[in-house]
Amino acid sequence: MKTVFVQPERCVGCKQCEIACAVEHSQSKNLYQAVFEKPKPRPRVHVGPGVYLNSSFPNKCRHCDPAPCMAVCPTAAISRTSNQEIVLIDGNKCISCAMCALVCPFDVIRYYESTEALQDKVVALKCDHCVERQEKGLEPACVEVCKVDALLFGEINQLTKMASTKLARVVSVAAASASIETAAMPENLEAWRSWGRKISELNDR
Amino acid sequence: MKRCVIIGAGPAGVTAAETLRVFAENLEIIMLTGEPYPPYSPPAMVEYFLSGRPVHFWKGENFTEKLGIDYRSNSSVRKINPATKAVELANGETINYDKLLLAAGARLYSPLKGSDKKGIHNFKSLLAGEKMLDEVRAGRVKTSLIVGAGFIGVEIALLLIELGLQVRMLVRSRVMREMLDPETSAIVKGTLLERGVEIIEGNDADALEFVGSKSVEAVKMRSGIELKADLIIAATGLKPNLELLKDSGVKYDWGILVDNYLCTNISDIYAAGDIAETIDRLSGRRYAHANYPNAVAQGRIAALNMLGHNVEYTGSDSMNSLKHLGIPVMAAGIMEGEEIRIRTNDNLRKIWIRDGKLVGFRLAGDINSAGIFLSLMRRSVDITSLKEELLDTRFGMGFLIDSALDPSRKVIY
Amino acid sequence: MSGHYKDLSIAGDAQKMLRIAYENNIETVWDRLKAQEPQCGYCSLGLSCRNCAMGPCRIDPFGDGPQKGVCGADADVIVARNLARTIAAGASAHSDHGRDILEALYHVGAGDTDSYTITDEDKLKRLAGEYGLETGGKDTQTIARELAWEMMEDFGTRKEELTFLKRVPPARRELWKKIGVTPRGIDRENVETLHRTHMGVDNDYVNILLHSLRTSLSDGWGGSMIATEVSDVLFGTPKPVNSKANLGVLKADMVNIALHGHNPILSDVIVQAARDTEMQKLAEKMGAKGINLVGLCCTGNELQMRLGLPMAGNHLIQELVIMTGALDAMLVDYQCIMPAIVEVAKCFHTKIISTFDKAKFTGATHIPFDPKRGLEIGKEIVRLSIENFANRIPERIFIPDTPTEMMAGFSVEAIVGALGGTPEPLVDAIKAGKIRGAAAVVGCNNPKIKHDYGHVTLTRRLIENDILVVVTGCSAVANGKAGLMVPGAADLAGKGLKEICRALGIPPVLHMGSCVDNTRILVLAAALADFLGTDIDKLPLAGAAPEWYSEKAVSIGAYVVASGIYTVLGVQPPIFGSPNVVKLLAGGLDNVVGAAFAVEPDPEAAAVLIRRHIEVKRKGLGLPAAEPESIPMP
Repeated sequence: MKTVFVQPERCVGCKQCEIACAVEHSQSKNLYQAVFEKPKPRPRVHVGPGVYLNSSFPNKCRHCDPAPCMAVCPTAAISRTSNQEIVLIDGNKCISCAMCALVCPFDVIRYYESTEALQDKVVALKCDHCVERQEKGLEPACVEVCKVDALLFGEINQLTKMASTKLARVVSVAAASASIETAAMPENLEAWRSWGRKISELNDR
Repeated sequence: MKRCVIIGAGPAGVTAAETLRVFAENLEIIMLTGEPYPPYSPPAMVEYFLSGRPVHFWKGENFTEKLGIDYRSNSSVRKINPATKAVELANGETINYDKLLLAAGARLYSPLKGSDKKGIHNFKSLLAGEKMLDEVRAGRVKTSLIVGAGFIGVEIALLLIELGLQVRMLVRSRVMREMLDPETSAIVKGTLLERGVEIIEGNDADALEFVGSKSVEAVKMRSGIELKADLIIAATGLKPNLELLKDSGVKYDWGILVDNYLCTNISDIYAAGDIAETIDRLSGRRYAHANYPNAVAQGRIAALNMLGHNVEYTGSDSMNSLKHLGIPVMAAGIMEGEEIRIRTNDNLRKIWIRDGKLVGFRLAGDINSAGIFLSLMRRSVDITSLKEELLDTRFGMGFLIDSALDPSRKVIY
Repeated sequence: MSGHYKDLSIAGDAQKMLRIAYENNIETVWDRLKAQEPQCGYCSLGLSCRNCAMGPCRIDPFGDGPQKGVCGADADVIVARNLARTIAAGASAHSDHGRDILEALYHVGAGDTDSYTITDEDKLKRLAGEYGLETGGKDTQTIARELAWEMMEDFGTRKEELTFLKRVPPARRELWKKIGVTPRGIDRENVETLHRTHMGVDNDYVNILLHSLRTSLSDGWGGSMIATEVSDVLFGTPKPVNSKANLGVLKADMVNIALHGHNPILSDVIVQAARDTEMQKLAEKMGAKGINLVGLCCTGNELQMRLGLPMAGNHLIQELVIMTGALDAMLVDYQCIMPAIVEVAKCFHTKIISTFDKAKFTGATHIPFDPKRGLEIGKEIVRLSIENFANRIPERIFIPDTPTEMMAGFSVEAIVGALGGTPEPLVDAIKAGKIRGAAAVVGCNNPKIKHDYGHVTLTRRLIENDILVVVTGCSAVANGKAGLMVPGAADLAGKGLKEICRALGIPPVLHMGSCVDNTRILVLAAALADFLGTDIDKLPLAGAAPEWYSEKAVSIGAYVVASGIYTVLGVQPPIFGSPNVVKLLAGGLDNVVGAAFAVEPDPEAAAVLIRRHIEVKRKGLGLPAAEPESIPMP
């Protein structure tokens, strides 16, 4: 099964994935036009900060199976694609009860106006794994723009094998028992990160 | 097993039917309901009444047909007879079963005098909801009075306000007392007031009796005053539909008693949804958890056990979400132990921690990371080292990743 | 708005005001920093380039993605170009400030100003001498005009080197010539930086960085130095003066006016206007007991140095001071003034008055300054402030704390004066080891670092270990508030430093002025080197900017290092994307100019780095020295 694989140590917090995601889910699919669209296109991947300065994490839907969000949706607005790989939300059916957000252990669902829903209606939005792009043989937009390979796309088994960090596995499949190891980082990057850690620790002093 | 009978067509019954069908292609499934509609989703009723879009028929209007289920609407069950493994319908017909699922749900519970009077509306079924809406659609009502300020009372208030009615609400202690702490409750109340709901509180809200000559005309208060309204709605509570169990030998207390496999005291008879009492995952208390996620989970587990798969039910979650208030409000778990909170205007996050574990939270306004909180709670993760960060508005997966990487924190999410 | 207001600053007054901000939902710089996080990694690594429209480009710091911009520039070139532009912006800010002061001097010379005169005539003549002007028989007005004209030439391109380079020890001047970093003209070096960093000009990171040093030197030994010296001529050379600091300097029963920014040119006039009897009477009529002028940031430092004007606070206080509800006007000139103050002021009655046409603030009252009728404008501003006193909301007034005593006014002339007219006693104390060396703790505040924590902690550790500390800018305010800048603070110093401070009656931490006044430190260092017949890089000196944020600070750091003084930064400059640039600036530069940078956010550790460095330099001079590595890291 093909999936987006996250290597958190490589994320530098540039938020390019957010921009690309929003543009991909816009009507014009063009950055400079998208910013003027209504409803405003929204990213479905969110780069959040970590505990330390300089740390960040691109958070998006894991397309769990079984998917807790799907189980609790009282209007069956959440469904799986026929190949079982992608969990989708139908904005037309969504009544915005937020049950899905309440049970999503990865905090990936947000509520905004959408082109899929009636005008002025706020509905649940989340990553659709760029289903349209995938049909054209393209990888998801967030992966395409990620210049540091914090986001990878491919067969999950292969990616797990070649992933340079063990933590990546923890993140992608949410295995609670995975061991924690980080791959060697370039020295200058390590210095940059450790400066951030130091600052955060100092500020807790 | 050849034939399975399911009494009730709510989320628990429907999920059970779906699960049965997945695992047993040729099983005969009979589903009985007293209502005249295809299966519907109660949480979607408000949206249906507001927009007219049939989102409440969430599985599709012909879903039972597609799944090969013998679906019988307008078929109330009068009694069940475990000795002969049969259910008897109101029209006298008898249906035999190999396994039986009791998923008949709950209905309005009103301790007030005169509760049997005609014209008292409620929102506990689509039929009841349609009746109420008929009055509104026909323009026969301008003013309304809601007795009770629980989750359903608030939902009705918001619906009627949207439909243009004058709404008064009797709040004896505080809005959504069961679900919310006083502070979050006050935020909800403030929002209701902003939306134009008139709230009558305290002693002035102490209702004694529904009064009226032919049908209900007013609510009589302890003070002696009678509050009149064109539309009077009872939202005083829920009671499981247990009448059909008379003389059946199926044990019940407030709701039906079940074991860890959702089986009643009589083998071959199971119960799921609002009709059953289950154990709360966190408090360990046993009660009827009327919410959609619990009903679905129980319907699935009951069906698996009816099929002989021996799957244990791990407990119910006390949780709910109210989103069309204007600001989202979420509640889960219990309000015991140490309370930590942060508030900025109407954004409130409150978390309860006991023995280093998150045991409950109430969120208003900013609901980000609610799912993470629920997951931390359900899995009893030790969050001692994350305590400070939980209230940070930016809290999210990034914090958990850092915490997993940091040996001094050791929070494995 | 943050609930963790106690974690944001070590200053009691700031903590109390942050609580008010939290309770009233007033957004501050800390909230905005939070909202910005995570900040872009490419940008903070210096790996993004927006210099041309083939881009914007960024380099993958992990090495798998793009390693070159569209033009082909690699990480080294992109980082170096970005740093060069940062330095040019900082140098330009200081130097343009210098030019504004210089124009005031010219107006005195031309006789068309009502607001300025020559206050330090001796210094005017000394400077004229340095500029090779004949002063005999000329009146001060003529000298002022001629000197201003000559100094303006330093901004141009007609010279081979800046005039003040005569103040640089000969060995260093030779070195600069040899490596090609002799600054020629102030404007020229800045313009050339912009030229070189245009796509397709200078594509050698070492060459770019060398020119960056030259640009910074045009600030330190040019624009900033002119600003300092001419300010002394016009407003007086600072002498030791007693003053007070923290938000407690505001007075509930007086009209409070804060003077914020960097350029003293208008503030000096406000001081005159506030003394005017007409204004005093107006204040009384409005029910106030008088007019209370307080300083903020470097405009505050300029006035505190010369007049002992009380100091309300440094960079991160500028929003909080408004929240006292007792500030009737904030008069701003330029640099480091957050646009956010206009928004905060909307929540209170404070009037924000901008005064320079090059620094307008949407939502503020703009009263353009004109040196030809400065006093008239000054009075107009003071009148507006007094009138605003009536708009105070009494229940919102909250002035935290009582002010801390502090001393200011340690110009080079004042320090040498305190030493008895020669640096010899200081040199002797260093030789004897009573004072191990001296360090400049300077620079800004940055919300990434707990407010004032870096400045005060580092300064404390240094004086405890017999290192004399000189301070400027936000650091001076931080240390003043912390009580380290009174003669009694000698008790906090090590034995040797304490003895010297006691004997001279000076604090162990000396206020040398605003951020352009870092040039006073250069002059002092050069004087010590000349006295010992050596170069600056041989001296037991160090610099530190524990909480810097501004482009000006990068320029200062660069000219201090290029002048031969080791400098420890508490905040990373955006250079970590290029290991080569880091290697050069944090190491290789030592072989070129005899000094380099270090980055160390922990002030405890920074103190050890500085102490070790000072012992290394003592050893080099043949003075009694401890084994550097024997000083343990915390």
